[in-house]
Amino acid sequence: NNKSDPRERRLKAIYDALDAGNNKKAIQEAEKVLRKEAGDSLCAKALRALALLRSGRLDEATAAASEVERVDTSEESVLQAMTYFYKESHRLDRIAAMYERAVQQQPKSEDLLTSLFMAHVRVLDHKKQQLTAAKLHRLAPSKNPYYFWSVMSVLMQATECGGELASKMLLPLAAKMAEAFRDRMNAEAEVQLYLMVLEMQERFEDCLATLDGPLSSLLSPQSTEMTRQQRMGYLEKLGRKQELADARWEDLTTEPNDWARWQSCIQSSINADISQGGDYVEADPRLSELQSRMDAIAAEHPGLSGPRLARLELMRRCPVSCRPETALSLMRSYFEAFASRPAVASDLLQFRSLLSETDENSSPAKLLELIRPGLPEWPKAAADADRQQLVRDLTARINYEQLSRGLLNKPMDAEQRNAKIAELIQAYRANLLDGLRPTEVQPADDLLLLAVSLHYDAWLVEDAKQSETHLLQALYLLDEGLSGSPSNYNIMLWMIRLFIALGAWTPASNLYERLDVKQILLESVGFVLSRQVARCGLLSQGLVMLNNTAMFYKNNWRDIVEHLCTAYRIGNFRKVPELVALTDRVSSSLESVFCGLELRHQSLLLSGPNIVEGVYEMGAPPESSSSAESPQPAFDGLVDGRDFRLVREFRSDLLAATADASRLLEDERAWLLYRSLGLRCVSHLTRMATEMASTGSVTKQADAARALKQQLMEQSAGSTGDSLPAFDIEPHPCLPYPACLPAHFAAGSQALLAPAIDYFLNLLPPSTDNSSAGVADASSIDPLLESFDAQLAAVEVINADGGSAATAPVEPLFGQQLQRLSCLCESVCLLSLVHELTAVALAGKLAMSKKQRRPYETFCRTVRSRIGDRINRAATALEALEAVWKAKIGQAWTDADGQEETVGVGGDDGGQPKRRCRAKVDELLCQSRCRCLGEMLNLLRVKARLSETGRAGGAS
Amino acid sequence: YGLSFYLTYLVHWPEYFKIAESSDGRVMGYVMGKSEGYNEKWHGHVTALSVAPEFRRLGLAGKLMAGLEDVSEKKRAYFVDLFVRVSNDVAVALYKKLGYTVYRRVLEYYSGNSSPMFEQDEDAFDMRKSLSRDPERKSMIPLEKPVRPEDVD
Repeated sequence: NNKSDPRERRLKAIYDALDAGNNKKAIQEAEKVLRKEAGDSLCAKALRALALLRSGRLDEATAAASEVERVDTSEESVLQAMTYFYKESHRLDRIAAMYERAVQQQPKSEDLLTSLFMAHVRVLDHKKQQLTAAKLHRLAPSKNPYYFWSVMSVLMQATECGGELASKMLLPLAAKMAEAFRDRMNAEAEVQLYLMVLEMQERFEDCLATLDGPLSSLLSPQSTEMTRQQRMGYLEKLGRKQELADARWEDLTTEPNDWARWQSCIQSSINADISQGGDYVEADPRLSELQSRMDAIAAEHPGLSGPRLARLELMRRCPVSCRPETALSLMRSYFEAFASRPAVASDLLQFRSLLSETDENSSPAKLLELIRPGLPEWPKAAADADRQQLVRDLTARINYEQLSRGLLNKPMDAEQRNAKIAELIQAYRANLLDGLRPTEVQPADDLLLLAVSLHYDAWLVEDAKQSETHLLQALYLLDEGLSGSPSNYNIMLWMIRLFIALGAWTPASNLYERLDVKQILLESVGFVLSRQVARCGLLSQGLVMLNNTAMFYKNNWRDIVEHLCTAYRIGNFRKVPELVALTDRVSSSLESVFCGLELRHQSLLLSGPNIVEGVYEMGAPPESSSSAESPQPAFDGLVDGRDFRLVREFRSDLLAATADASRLLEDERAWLLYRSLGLRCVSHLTRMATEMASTGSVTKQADAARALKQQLMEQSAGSTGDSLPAFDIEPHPCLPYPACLPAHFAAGSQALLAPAIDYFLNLLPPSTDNSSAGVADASSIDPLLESFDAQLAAVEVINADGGSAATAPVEPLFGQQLQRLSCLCESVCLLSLVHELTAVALAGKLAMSKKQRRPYETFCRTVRSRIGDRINRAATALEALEAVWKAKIGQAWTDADGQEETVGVGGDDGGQPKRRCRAKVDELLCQSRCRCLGEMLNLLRVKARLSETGRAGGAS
Repeated sequence: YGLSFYLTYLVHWPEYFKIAESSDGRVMGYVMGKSEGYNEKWHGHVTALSVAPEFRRLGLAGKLMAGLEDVSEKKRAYFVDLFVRVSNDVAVALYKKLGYTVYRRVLEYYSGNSSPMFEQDEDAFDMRKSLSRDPERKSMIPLEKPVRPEDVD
């Protein structure tokens, strides 16, 4: 309404600007209102704070918000604006505090109390939720939801605290509250909540009675499936085995191909039988009865694979029923019946252990031998071919190849392997279908992927430490595959894995973008790249990636609690504990913690002239674990969401390594401990320098510095002794590179930290009289530089004859070389920081009279020149290496032009990679390496520009 | 989709989530949806149906769709509808096989740059299948003219 009062109109202008995302205008409009109303409009102040926040002007926003906070108000518009403000600044706790004050002003307001309830929900304060819901109930006793909010809040307190408090007090209370309202229940949600309470009290008989009693009329028809599952769950808890088994069988008849139902059915039948009279013995009539029952279902549904696979499942769960020859014959007939369907190999490989390793007649090799003759010939795609038949034949061959890789379970010798690769690749090339949409994948891709696995086997077994050959061969094939199947994610994941093993960040990250990894995929897939930021040099691209991931977790935590509010609002109580568990899951995500820490570490080292501010920001509470005073986080209880099964594997020994990710999680934890100690140390150097600047000595920060130094010593002692877990230098099959930690230890960048701490501890020796506090001898920096020199020497070998680029040897594994170089860059960043902080620490001394400041100036100049010399030497070493790779740019294509495509007799190309793919991949690698080295060099050149006066930008 | 998108569905329409897992525990596909509309427009909606490439040709899409239709039947919906890219002829053919018809075309329903795979804006088919509450299949009678996304109710 345009004729509404002018104040409303002016406020509307602010809202409109905010909605349009025009924060600058919103700030102006808000300031206009405040001028007109002599600063009286609290709403305008709140909106201004919000607009400032959204423009990234954090300090001003906080100041503006605290002005609003000083006034107690129950004005709806102010409260809402501030709610947004707190949500967006991740301060959810403040919302509750604000509404507490508002409710004091208007204790009878249902709206305010509801907002307060939701504010408590957002910070998972179940106790205060309960109290607020009780107030709401007293205010509006006829409204059921308020009452059940408080029941749910009691239940959540019980879930959270567990133990006797839950079982003796909270749960009985929740049950009593729910039962008091039994006659007044009028919604499904309330019945479900009552069931949840009973479940937690383990009163399963009462659960069943409720499902059968009058309250069941409130359950909706679409919940039948859920209640059926609930009922079986209760029978199981009650140990009513026969009833459960009967219910499971009945359940199965409606979906006789549902694998989960088969598993439950078999397990409950075994349990019921055994509970009736001892374990099974061989040829137990009860077992054969069970088998016949299964066979009957299989016969009734001949087209279904579930019932036939279930026979193998029975053997696995009940070993007494397993005779390897029967297993073999079941597996054979399963394969023969369903060979032309996808995923048959992985269906069967789960039961590999049922075959015999010793008896030739029921061995894995025998199975392959028996099914081999029934296979169709390798098909050939032709314009007139029956495409459906072709795909079926191809699938059967693929299933056979995958099965034999999984069953034989060991790497082949070189000759066998090369022959197999040639066979697979020729079959692949002969079976490419045309006219597929770009979103469809070529069915033959699986053959190419098997050939790639064989190359990867060879790399792991034969030359993981010496040569890149097999990785390259695999990449050439994958590049060919991707051009025929541009959306095959398996191909892309393999390529990322291999590019990373070769130390090529750029092509890997381009593929990662093409995979469109975002949102929840960051949790399961993000690791393929996030772990590479530290290995592939300090790349600005990497920082962006780490930042996106860190933000994903932070924002999602906030979003989940909003959904929790919705669950209360609409009464979906079943989802409340699930969502609360999800908030836990998000906060304990390994990926989240890893990216957050790595981001802080990398930004700290990369930050240029504002390094001192950078340190403060990065080390600042609340999420900081980086100050020396706060305890070292233990990184316990992290949940590893990385999906190592993404890249498909059939060899069961490799699969087992994939499934056992615990070692990989231990490696990660050790890395996090190492990284966070490094971060705390770097942060603390800044604190020491700042203290010196203001007080002229290190006093308050000294103890913490010594404690950190002690931790560093323990860490490096552990790295050579037995106290740290032994880390594999070998690449893990899931990750084509060794764990980060040993490589970093070997490179020695952490070794610089202890001497750096000592250097600052001794920089200003305590003065004996007021006037002439001296400065340390310039040699106090020697230990630090010696550590750096040791690291530099390992890299300078490259450049042994004085920097001639032509002779700089390239190491056989560029990936490892790159890792060492990126550690060197980290050390350079630290040296540069030490230089800047020296100036910060001595700022007061340098401002003294010309005569007095002279020794300090001399000291600074010496430090500057010695550090500068080291950085320049590092840059020279890198330049030599960069020159080698630069000279190779374009060479791959020239070479390719001079070659003939390898084609043998009758078009037989022996499965050799295509010339074009070879050149393309080689060129990509070369350019990516140049780019990586170039970025590192740029960084070193920036760091080499040590400020002349020794004044750090951020300190001025 | 963002996590929040899934959670909205999970909180409001948990009954519409179905997942298919392989015998060795891999996710083969999933479907999610919702129910909405008033009176004769009360219907089930397929929000996402997805089957992993290596598990195609097993009839999973049909199975997942049947589950969603079953829930919609129980909720006494008149029909089930879904949106699909007009270029996605594989999916359109699948839905036709499952009894869906093109009810109308929605212009530029999919915006470009939503993923690296699709760079152009694209129209959608709104496809429908009547349930038992609509025995005369009134809800499936095709509209003659395409509509704009903002006019879709």
